[in-house]
Amino acid sequence: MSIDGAFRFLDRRVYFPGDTLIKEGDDGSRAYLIEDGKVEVFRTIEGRKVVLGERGKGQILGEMALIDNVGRIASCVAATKVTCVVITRPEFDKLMTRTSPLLKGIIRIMVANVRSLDDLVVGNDGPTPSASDIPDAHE
Amino acid sequence: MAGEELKNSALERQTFEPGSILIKEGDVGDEAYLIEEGSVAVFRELAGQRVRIGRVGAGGMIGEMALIDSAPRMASAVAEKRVTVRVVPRRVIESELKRADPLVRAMVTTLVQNVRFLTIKTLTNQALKGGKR
Repeated sequence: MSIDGAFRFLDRRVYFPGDTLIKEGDDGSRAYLIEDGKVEVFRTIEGRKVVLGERGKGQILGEMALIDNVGRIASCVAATKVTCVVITRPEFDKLMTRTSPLLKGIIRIMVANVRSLDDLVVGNDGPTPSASDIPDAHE
Repeated sequence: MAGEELKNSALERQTFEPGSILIKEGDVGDEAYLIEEGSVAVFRELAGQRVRIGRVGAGGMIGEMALIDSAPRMASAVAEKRVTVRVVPRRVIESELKRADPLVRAMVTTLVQNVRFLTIKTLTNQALKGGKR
């Protein structure tokens, strides 16, 4: 993906292994486009770390809170040295107003799906899992 | 969920009777469906058994991921009741993605990867705990 044109003037940051990009429970005011490196995504449940995934080059981090205004549900910590572009809420909102209704709809649906799947993963990894804990993922 | 933004579009409308298959796991997908009425059950085959992933009802969408990353369908969807959908053809999503900002494109593909990853992780956890049904 070429990002040179669009992001030449944006805020670019470097994080080192162990640095926190996003902290669970915070308000979301920015997203990150990862240009290089890997970031681990996890939730802390009763003091236990439950890994939800990893994001790397060309992927976005922190976009969900900017879309549905729900606070940060997971933490993101640099697993390697990470270079990223910071996207602020005003920039993000401007971008979304230029996005077609169909894509906006798809993005909202997928954000909702990721949130319910995150809950299922955390629920299943939890101390007392059972099949009846698994609700309908899309409701 | 996203119905409001999509329901006034000029997309073709289609109806499925209860039990009909809208999406079959493993197929190459060329259409997504925005559900206007009714609901579909979503499931995946795991070790020869149907594992239910969930249900999608009015306002929800199914099948959009295969149109974005061109990977095969990762789950099947069957009409529970009579279902009315709006059909979103591949070319519509492709042309909208092409016109979209690179950042929006990155976001859409990241979300698809996450949904796929988390679905597999959920099902694996479920199978490991013996939670098949």
